[in-house]
Amino acid sequence: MALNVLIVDDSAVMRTMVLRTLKLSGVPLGEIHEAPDGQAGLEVLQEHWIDLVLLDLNMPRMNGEELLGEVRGNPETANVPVIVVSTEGSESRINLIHKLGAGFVHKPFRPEQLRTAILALTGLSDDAHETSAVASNVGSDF
Amino acid sequence: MLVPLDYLEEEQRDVPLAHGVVVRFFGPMTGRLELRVSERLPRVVAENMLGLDDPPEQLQRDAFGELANVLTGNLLSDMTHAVGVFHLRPPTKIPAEMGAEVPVAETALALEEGRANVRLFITLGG
Repeated sequence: MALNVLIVDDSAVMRTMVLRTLKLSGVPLGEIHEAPDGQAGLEVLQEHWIDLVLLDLNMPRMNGEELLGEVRGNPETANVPVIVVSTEGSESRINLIHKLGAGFVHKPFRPEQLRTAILALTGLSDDAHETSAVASNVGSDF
Repeated sequence: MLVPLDYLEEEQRDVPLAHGVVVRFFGPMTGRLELRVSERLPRVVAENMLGLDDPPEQLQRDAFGELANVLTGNLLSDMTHAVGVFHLRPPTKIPAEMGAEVPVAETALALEEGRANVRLFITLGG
């Protein structure tokens, strides 16, 4: 099953980097959508079938926690897997994210970490891959 | 490799800093982190982050800013033992020359491609 993914981050360079790491993770990918803030991300969710959201926290207009609350509060999107990708280190904030049923990946991160979080949340089996193996020797560490 | 300034090799100490970026933070402590790097570093950072050869200057600047952002977030988390909730402003460009204000902490990163200088200023709290 190829995942349709939405990447929400106000930094274009970080969206590019997350997408690159996602590709390196070997997870099968379908459509890729990007949004620069939570409000734009919500609009994408209303217009497209999304299997996974990769979400930054600190953003203008609507931040990551607000978007996560909106997603969980809407019966149509309540079960969409969400992984927060952030430099956030506060235990209380990370616990809140987990309580809302989202995964958390701390920046900097490696493709293997992203893959593990995605498999845990989506229920994909570990042999789901596009390439022969996760690129474990790649220098990407974000 | 994070090293005290005194441990930089002489040729590394002499590499001029050419780019600067600041990330301001608010929370249990208020202050800013300034990151300055030598000429080639933003390009190397962007190439590594994005997997691109010869990325355009705008992407180099953005990648450099994101590096400062990640550095600030992780440093604050370590300093407060993952207890404090901080709000970080987007990275903004600053002059490569350092001001006269004395930081509460300063360190250097020695790299093959040059060097980086990190200065932490805390104005409230801490």
